[in-house]
Amino acid sequence: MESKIGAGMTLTQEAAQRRVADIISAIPVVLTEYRCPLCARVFPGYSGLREHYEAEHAGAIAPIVVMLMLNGKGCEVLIEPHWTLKRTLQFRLGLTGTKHMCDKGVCGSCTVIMDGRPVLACQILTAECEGRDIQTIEGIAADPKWKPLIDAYCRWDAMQCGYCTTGFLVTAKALLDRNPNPTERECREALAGNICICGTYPRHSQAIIEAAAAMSGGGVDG
Amino acid sequence: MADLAGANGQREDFRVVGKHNLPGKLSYALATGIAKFGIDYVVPGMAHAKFLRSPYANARIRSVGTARARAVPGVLDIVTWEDEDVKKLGAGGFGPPAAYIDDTADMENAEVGVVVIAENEDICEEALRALDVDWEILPHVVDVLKGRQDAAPIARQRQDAPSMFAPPPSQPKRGNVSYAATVQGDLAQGFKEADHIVEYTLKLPAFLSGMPNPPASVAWWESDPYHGEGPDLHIEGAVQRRENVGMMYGVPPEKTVQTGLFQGGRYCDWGLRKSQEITPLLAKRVGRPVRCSNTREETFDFLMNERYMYLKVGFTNEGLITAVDDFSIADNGAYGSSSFGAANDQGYGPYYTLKCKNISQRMDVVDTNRGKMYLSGQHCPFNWDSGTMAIYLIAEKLGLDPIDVAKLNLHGPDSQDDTRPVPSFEACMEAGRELMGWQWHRSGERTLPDGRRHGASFRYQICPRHAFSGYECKL
Repeated sequence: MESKIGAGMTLTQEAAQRRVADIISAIPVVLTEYRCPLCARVFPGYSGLREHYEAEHAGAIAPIVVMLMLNGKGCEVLIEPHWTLKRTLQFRLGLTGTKHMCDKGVCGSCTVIMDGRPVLACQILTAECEGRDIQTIEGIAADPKWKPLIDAYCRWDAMQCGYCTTGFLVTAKALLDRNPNPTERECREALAGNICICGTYPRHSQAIIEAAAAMSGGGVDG
Repeated sequence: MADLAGANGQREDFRVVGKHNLPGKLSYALATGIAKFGIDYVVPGMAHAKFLRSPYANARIRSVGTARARAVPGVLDIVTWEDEDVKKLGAGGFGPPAAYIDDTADMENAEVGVVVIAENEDICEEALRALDVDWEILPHVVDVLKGRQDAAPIARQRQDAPSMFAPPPSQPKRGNVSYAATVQGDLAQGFKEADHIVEYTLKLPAFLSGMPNPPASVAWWESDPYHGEGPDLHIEGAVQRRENVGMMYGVPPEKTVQTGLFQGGRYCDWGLRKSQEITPLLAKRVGRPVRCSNTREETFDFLMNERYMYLKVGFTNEGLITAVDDFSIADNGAYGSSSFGAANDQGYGPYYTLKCKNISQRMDVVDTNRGKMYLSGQHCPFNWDSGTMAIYLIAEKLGLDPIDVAKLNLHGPDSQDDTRPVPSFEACMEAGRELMGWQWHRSGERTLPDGRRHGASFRYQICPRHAFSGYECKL
């Protein structure tokens, strides 16, 4: 049993960037096996799985294959039709930076960017995501362009327990995409849908404004 | 600069001390999404588990039929409280020795009776719906004050054993109520010496622990010669307490493996949930890794239970407290609640930071079916809530800065008879005052430029949870 997947002990920005890039590259583009969610039998092709359903699980709704465009990479994924994007990211693609908190569209911890807009992955069916451009925290963290934002969040320690942090960061990235120089008020408005029980709110605006300055060529006091 | 002895001496070239905006060691892991919390773990071949949860506040299972549930495609195993495996498994966490799960639920949504293991969570839920459960619904208590009455139904079907921390109760338990009292000095004399006496009541509502990451674990068994002979238990999601889980299964610490570091937001709440403890048993039964996760609703636990308080304080014209008479009624919650915050908190010496020795603190602790508290503290020390209110009332009455009232009443570093100031406390207070530009005034004397009132509070027992406290206070 693989156990090294858990640790997540990464001390530098460069190491973290490499790690998330590895996670993205490990996602297979094409499915090579099709596992039955009801009995765990594995089939080499989708048609085999469909036939198995008709024969063994008549009346049950068969899984479907969806082509997702995630972090600039196309990938096939086998899901059940009712699965949310949040569930697919975690259980099919190993992208656990999109966090499960309320599962009700309230907390913002599962925020991803879809076609340029921050959206809640717990409220979107994966089946509806085909052909949409989806960015997760892993894609943002792997992109050197967004190093200043990651750096600023870490420098400002805009996190405590860290569970909600990635949701904030994805929302912040979406904000900077549409507004490269946000004011504090604009930062607060953009982040209004993200909840942090630790109370790190003031730090987020500071980090975003610092990142915006760095990305536009301004200096960073430090 | 102080002439510090030791290796640092007059050193000024610190890499960290005195610097601001430095990333923490784990900041990049958290910010980039690499950090994995218990609920994040997905391992190859993993099965899922879910508990039957009680739809009633107080109920017992007379019988349960599992045949229909076992027939649901994708169900791997169903475990009930009658299985020998489960009977051997003692309850972890807080409370006296007890069955890990049994046929009894004394709060809504409590794990009870049955665990289903299946290929995925949807199948678990379908199987749970297919169980034929015959419930015996029992009367319940969800109002602390009603639960205190003699005629109230009994909330807990199991009784707590004496806590290792608790002092003996001040009188035998009656109905749902346990009694505690800590009395020292001469209360009547203390009030005689007072120039002023204030009385007030305070209600502290229950509030939720609200951890952002729902508790979850994944466990599997493996052999690794590095850890010696016999199977290793690998469990993720029981950060800080993996050894407690190992102990439940007779696995020594060196063979209880966990690679994850991140436990998420937990404030004064260190109790493991059953979802974090059951996975090793289930993994052994099905021979595969098993994941079990609470939903957020299933983690609706109290960080602090409801409490009604009455306080009478005597003090001199200088603000020195001469007597404290404190009575409170506290919600003890359901069976298995943390013993902290209940009767035994008296043993921690409430008010022992005061110079005043004339103190009576009594508490009625009422069992209810409202919920469960995993770890907190309601009274220790210096009764955070009512004590802080007392300082403010004294300050208002005498026109003194509450910080000065607190400093006056805080005894010295050695004992309650030590009248010297506490240097570290004084230094912290002065630094805080300067940092905040602290300028106290009586309530309502000044307003913001737009006419609004404003507030900032001082308390010298600081804890993040108090940021969430709500109060209803009658002065």
